[in-house]
Amino acid sequence: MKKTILLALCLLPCWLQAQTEVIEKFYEKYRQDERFSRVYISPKLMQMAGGFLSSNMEQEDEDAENLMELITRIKGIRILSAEKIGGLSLFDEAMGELKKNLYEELMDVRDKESSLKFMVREEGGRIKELLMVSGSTSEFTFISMLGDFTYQDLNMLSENTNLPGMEEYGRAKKQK
Amino acid sequence: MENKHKDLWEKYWKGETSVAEEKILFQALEEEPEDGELKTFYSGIQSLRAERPKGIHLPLQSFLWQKMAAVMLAFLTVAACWWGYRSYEQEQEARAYRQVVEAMGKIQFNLKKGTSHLESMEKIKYLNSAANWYENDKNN
Repeated sequence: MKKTILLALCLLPCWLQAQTEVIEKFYEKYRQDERFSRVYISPKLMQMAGGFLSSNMEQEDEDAENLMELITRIKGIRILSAEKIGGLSLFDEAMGELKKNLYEELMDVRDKESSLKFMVREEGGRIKELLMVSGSTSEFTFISMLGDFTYQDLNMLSENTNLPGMEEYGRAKKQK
Repeated sequence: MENKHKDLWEKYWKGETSVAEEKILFQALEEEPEDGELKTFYSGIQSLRAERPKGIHLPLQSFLWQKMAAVMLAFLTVAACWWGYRSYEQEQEARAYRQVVEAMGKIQFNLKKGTSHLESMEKIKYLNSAANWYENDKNN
């Protein structure tokens, strides 16, 4: 029994690595596909984004302060998204690649035209990864947010928080 | 005199005389009362020897300005490089922030999408309220 537990503990890092590789594999698979846009925000970029926010945020802006706190806890973000694509089949493919027992389901929304799933990977009561997979008849989004945060930290995203800079970003996107 | 020192002059023209021998030759010329070719030559050498280097005006006075200008130029170059790098860094920071906001925005949008479904469910449960009231009235 002890041997089995010891062996399981030894294999755990390999298993976690394998999960990361699955995501990476999925990313690599569609990297050459021009319909996909692939973004990787490294820890260094997260640090830079935090620097930008702290130097530009107004005093006593609670939303900015909350976002800043969240940013300091995020180690990296991977985004794979595509438009004008059959996202539902990609959603199923992504779900098939992931070993679901490693991730805890947070939210699952399905209707005729779209599927959305939020999953978290917890370690010691803290969220180490938030995974969002969304697919519809016309688009697909896969976001993996790595870090060390709590559900409390995620609340700011679920609540009607005004993300500083989001409006400007939306306007710039519309102009494109 | 010329005959007297003929051999020594021959040696002089070949450039083989020593300083002591040249001293003998020129001393003899100084003592010579008549002007001759050698005497003219000697006076020419004398005037050449008498020439002193003219005081060349070194640009010492402008040296300080040049130094200051060089320091200023170096300072401006460093400042321009620093400003350029800082602008580049700020641009990179802004770009990183835009990407983070985009990711957060997508997560927020989809989280809202999920919670809005829950809100709809909240409203659906009140659809049965009328039937419940009717049932309650009936029982009473």
